[in-house]
Amino acid sequence: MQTEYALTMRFEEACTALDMESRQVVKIVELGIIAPRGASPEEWHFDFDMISTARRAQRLRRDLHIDWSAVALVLDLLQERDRLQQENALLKQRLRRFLSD
Amino acid sequence: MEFKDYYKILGIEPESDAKAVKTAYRRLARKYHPDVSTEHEAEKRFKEVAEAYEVLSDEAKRAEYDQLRKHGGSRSFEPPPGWQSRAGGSSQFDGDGDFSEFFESIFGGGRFRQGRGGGQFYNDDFTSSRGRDIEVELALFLEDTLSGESRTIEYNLPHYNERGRQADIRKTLKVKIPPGTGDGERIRLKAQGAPGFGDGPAGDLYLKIRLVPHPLFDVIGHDLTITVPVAPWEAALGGRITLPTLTGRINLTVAPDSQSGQRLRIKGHGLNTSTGRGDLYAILKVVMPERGSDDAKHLWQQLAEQAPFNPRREWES
Repeated sequence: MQTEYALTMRFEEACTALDMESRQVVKIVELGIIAPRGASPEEWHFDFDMISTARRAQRLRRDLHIDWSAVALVLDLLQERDRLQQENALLKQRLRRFLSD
Repeated sequence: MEFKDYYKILGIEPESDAKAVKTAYRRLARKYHPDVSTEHEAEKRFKEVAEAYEVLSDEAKRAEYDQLRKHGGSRSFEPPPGWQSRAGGSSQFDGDGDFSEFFESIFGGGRFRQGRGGGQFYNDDFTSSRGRDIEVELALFLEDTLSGESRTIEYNLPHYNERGRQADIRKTLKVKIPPGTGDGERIRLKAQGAPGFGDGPAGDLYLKIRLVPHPLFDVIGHDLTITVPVAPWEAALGGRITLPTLTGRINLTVAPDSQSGQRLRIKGHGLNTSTGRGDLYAILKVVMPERGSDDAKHLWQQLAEQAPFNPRREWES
């Protein structure tokens, strides 16, 4: 079965995928929550990590009752936390190889 | 079914005012939200908390709930015969329509409730809307990422008809992972997600790649590292050793007077990148033999006397 791979999507499609008004999508880009390449909305390209992050942002705003600015901070901290956890796991693994038996 | 004590779930008294309800919800939402929380069973707890808030924050729903609670909240709960909720209606939660059986028995009213998310609109008449996106994890062994063969994945697809949501369909799909896709990256498969409503298009399927930890190799980006045990004399004298790689064994030349922890780069034996292949780094680890023979001890003794070497020189000044 041949499946179609799409590598990125454009502004309109992103708004639909996120079920967000264009105004809101522009806002989260302005806040740096996601950073599509391109100078203006018409030129923006969104990849799936951006869509996934934008969805996460929506859930946080809706469920935690926080505004977009707070969401941006939370996401930055979560990203840093995830990066540190990954790095920590890798370093522990490499250390284990060196220290074991 | 079991009666759910929403007040207990939020940790508040039944007489609490709206403000207290909100405060309790916000505190617990921060604690258990799946996007943020590291707590055990966070998603399950969050759903409970969200459902409790859904009911207790809405005046009408709360009134109906309090009424039912008064008349016996016990283990074996059934809504009174002919019960019809007037409060059940729009939900502020986009979730996957995932309220408990208990909730549905009171507020569901037998009406089909759509899940929401990823482009799907909540409405009572199921006019065209885009299906939900689905995310699935795909675990790959490091060797698999090199082969470029198609993988078969299986996942559950929601299934709806006029009567509402039916049992999920088990879907099988063959996918080719683009070379260079790293751990944690997502591949989007258009229109392979949940079916749309009316004329709406199906949602997308997102495949999240998870690389299975390898017993020998560690992954750093597109490179691999392997720790190579060597004997003290191998490090001192140098030599050739055979090394496993993802695609068979190779020979490695160890230079004389090598150090423990030294990294040796072997080009092109890492993971695939989009344009080629990363590298393999061999890290030497000098290991001591276990208790040796008397002859061996004798040789060590000679070496100790003849080779002036103080590894703790820096401590002495």
